[in-house]
Amino acid sequence: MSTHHHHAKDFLFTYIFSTDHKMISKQFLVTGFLMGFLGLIMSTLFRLQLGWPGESFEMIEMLMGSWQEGGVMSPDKYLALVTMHGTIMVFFLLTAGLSGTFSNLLIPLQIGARDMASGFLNMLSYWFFFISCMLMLASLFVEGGAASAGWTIYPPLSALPEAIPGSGAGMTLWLVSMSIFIVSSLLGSLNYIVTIFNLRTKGMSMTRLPLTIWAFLLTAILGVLSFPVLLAAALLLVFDRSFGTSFYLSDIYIGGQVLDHTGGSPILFEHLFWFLGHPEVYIVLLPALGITSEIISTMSRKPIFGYRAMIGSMMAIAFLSFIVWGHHMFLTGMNPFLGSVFTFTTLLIAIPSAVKVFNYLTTLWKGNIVFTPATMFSVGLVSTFISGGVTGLILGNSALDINVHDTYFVVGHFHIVMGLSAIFGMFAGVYHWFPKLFGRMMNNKLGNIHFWITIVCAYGVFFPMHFLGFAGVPRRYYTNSEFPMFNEMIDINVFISICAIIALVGQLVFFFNFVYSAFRGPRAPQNPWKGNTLEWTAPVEHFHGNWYGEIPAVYRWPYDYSKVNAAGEYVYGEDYIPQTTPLGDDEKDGGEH
Amino acid sequence: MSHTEVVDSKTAWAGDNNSPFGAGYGKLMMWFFLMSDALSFTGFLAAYGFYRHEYTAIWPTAENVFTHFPFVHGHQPLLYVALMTFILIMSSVTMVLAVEAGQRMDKKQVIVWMFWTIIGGLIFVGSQAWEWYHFIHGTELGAFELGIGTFDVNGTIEQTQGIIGRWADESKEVLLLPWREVAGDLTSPYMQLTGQALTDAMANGQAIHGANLTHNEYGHPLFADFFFFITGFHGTHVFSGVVLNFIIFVNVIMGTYEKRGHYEMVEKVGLYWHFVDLVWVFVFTFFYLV
Amino acid sequence: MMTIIVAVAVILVIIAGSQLLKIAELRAQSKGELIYEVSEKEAKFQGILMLVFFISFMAFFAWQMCSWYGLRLPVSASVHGVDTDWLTGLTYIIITPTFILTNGILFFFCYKYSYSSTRKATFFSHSNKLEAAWTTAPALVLTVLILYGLSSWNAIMTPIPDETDHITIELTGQQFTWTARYAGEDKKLGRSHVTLIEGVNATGVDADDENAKDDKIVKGEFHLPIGMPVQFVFRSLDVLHSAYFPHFRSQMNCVPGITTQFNFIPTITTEEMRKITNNEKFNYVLLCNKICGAAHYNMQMDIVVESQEDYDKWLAEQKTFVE
Repeated sequence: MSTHHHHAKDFLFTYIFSTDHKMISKQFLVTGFLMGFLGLIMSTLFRLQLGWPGESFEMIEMLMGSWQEGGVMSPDKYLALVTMHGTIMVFFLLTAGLSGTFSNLLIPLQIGARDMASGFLNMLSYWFFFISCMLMLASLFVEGGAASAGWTIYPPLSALPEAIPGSGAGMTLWLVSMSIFIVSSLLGSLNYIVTIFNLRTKGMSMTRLPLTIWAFLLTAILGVLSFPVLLAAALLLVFDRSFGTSFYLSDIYIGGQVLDHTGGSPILFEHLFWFLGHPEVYIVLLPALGITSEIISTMSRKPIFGYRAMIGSMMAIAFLSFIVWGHHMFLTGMNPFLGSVFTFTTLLIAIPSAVKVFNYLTTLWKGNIVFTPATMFSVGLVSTFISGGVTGLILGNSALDINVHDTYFVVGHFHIVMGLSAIFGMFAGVYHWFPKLFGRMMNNKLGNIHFWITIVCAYGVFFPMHFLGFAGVPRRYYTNSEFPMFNEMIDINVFISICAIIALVGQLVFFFNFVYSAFRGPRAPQNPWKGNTLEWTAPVEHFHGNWYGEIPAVYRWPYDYSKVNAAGEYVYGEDYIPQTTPLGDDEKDGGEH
Repeated sequence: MSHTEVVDSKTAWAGDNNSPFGAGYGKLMMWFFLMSDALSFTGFLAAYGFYRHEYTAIWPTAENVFTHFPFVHGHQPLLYVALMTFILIMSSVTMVLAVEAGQRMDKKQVIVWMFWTIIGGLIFVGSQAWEWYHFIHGTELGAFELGIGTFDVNGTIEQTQGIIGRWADESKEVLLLPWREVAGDLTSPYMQLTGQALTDAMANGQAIHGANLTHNEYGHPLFADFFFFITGFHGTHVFSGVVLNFIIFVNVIMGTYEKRGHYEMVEKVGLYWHFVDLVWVFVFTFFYLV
Repeated sequence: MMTIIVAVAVILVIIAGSQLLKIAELRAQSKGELIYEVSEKEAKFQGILMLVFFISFMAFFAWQMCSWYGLRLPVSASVHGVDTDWLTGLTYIIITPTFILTNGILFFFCYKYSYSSTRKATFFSHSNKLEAAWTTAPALVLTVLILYGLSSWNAIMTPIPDETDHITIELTGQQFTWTARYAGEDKKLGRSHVTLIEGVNATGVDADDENAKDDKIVKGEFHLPIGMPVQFVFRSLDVLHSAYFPHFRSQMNCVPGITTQFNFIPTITTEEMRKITNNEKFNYVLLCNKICGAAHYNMQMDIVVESQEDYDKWLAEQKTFVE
């Protein structure tokens, strides 16, 4: 009858094709985490191969079927796993999963808007992402297997199925999936930017925005400007693969014959790819940095130190990220002068990064820190950002890069800054805003256990890689056992693999906590962390429009924690002053005493 | 609450309407979308520039390739492309007039000017299709693609595989190679293959007519590849722009915007149309003129 | 069968875990507390753990250095490698204390400033002086590193001038092997192109080119004379490869369709290096360092560095292209 029909349609539009930003953020979160978990399993599988090369594992045979005859991974399947691991983690978990979740959840709530500017485009953004996930997963099952030329898919390897099986149907699906992914990302970014500019509530000037919003804004702008170039690169590759053009191919002799492609250059692909590729890593990192700023400040009960400097350094990082891409290409044979230019710009980008770290430290100084799992992951982000960032000084210096390029030194560096820093930011965000996502609280003890296992094992996995790199061990090698000079490295590899397996188990604690708490966790109060920002003024229950009645107006910046008057007492009696509290007669805004 | 509420940028979503330039969110979105689209085109044009620079010695000159004018015989270098460009620019002008009429809420004028914009767009797309047809079809004479071998270009030995030689005249006795006798001097004659050298070379290679993605009678295959790709990508944008314009045109006639109280939608598609025009100016400059 | 048992066990563990969590929540409720509230004791405990972690982290770092620092590459066997090793060392002297200090401050602050209900946090929101200080300091340090780095880079990437005595070797990479071609008496490499590949001429050398006739093609291992600058020209026949000579601190991509170049001067013979590394079986090696297909992990060629006389003898034994 009509009510029954109404129910079905309601379900469809409330849960599946929702245009409500809070539901969409949960969709991104769950999809992102599922893909991430898959990526994690893939890495554990190839770590088994690297730790115990050539050994047979029944469990692998069970999981991977014909990919693993006799339980031993084959070299081209190894490369397929490595490629898919990189693709899934960088794009599906850390770009869509991280930005999609938190930009969607927090932008309207923190700026005081009822929803994103266009709920419809937002909904499309998620479903395009979903389709792209499906296509990427489908590529695992086609003939020839998934794309196998590394997540960077350089041609000619990625253009020629005769060079590696994964460059057949698997690569085609990869390209189609990523094109749709780029559309999803663009739709999302357009929404985020326009919402932040146009839909702020009364009194919410740009300099009263929480740093999370600044981070999401800059990330979205980076995405709008850089993803199209990857689209261009991918489309040209599609043509080279399927229509016989020679954009990237020239003078190739393979499979006993000379191919009919002349004039192209693989270096063009590298330029186009890294023009996105470098801003991409900041697209991954900036939201995590924004989340950390927010959490460290709230949980230390102190204003973030250097609010304007933080904004300035994020803008500097965003701007500089466009002019450093060549540091991935020092050894391609490009003009050495260009190499010098890129060295210069790359080492410049270290400066705003350092400024941010010092600002975080000063925020903690003389704070009154409440250690929830969110706080701890934020602290972990600062630690890994330092540890991973300093090795960038070696990699960014072209002369020094000569001997460590494409070795495990690079693998260690980028995993610590992305695989640790950025994912820690994501975990921190989930623990901190879980009450806003699900109206319930996650369990702190399990969260603490999750944090300690993760940080210990993660450093255990990636720190030793620097030593491998300095011994000259190249990356993307199926095994190191073909070179006598690498024989002694096996201990390091075993150590890393064991840590990786334990880390995987640690993540199960998180997933258990997440799922349990989403359904049966204790109900959350409206403002569990006693935060100042607007999202905590919205009622716990979800409804379209976020606030009953009028949207609250804002009178101050979001970092009035532990503000005291001349007598040393808390102004208004508490160690936090929400943005919705009007300024007192003698009070100045924005961090002035 | 309905799940498909249309959010009008001017109503109560924002508690305070402080937006950059006072622009509604729809217009702002269009601007950012155009920025991203501009970067796609930039990627392609950068790629084009990369090769144009690398193969500058043997790159075909556009004015020798695009020489046809509909219904007129003879050699009119780039004349038709110039006309196409003029028509597209005029359609942008009519678009501006439509937007201006919309700001005055003058429905009749909006209809007139949008109509001419759509016509301009259709003529452009049709012309581009015509250009493609002639490009693909090639000339009567055709060209000859050399096979494996070498040629001494003023002391440097060059590989001849894939090199396109053009016939000097109908007799097919002299094959003009893409290298000039004095490198870089546009007035210096092209190097030639005649007589026995020509016969030897012809044993190894194939005659080509027209151009497609793998072979190009006009010169380097990448020239054709980029021609199809970039003008195709642009043409798709023009076509989608025409479709969008048409939809808005119908809406104007139906009075949708009179009811809404403003013609902002005309302005938004106008932005897209100007973008498409501006990209064409760049494509025309970098591909045809440089 | 095994799968079913495992699945059941997993489900039971999950159910048990859920019940335990519920019990913990109810227990806290009965005590009048909220399970998600972090008590002062709990905060202090985590703060202590932070400090313990830092100490363990540094211990871990120290342990790694003790265990694995010795595994690093031996002393540079090329002239420019000495410079880059020195600069790497300098960079380490800068980043290691930075790493230890900043991490230390971070975890120490976590310990020292963990939550206390009797203390108020200090409202300290900005300081232009501090910002200026820690913007300028890194900038200065980086300037030093950049200047040293760029001067090394320019020196390394300059091809050997013709006047300088040197040998020229073309290294061709292909799936999954390397081929070396020496320039021969005339010191010039003959032309080559993929279209000329046929039978024995596996790298496509142009037989009609005078310069090619005395070139010597070598597989499996190639030799270098000590102290003589060697100019490499790199090619690839199929996909991207990268010629990586870790002991010589040298690397350059091999790109199909173009040639790339790199040069170095070997300074330690294979014999000497065997003594230095205490390994009779040591050999210099060339590896592929850019993902190139299934057997990317096994694309190698040995390199022998020896005295000029030994090298000349070896070279004389190699066949020229004509032969």
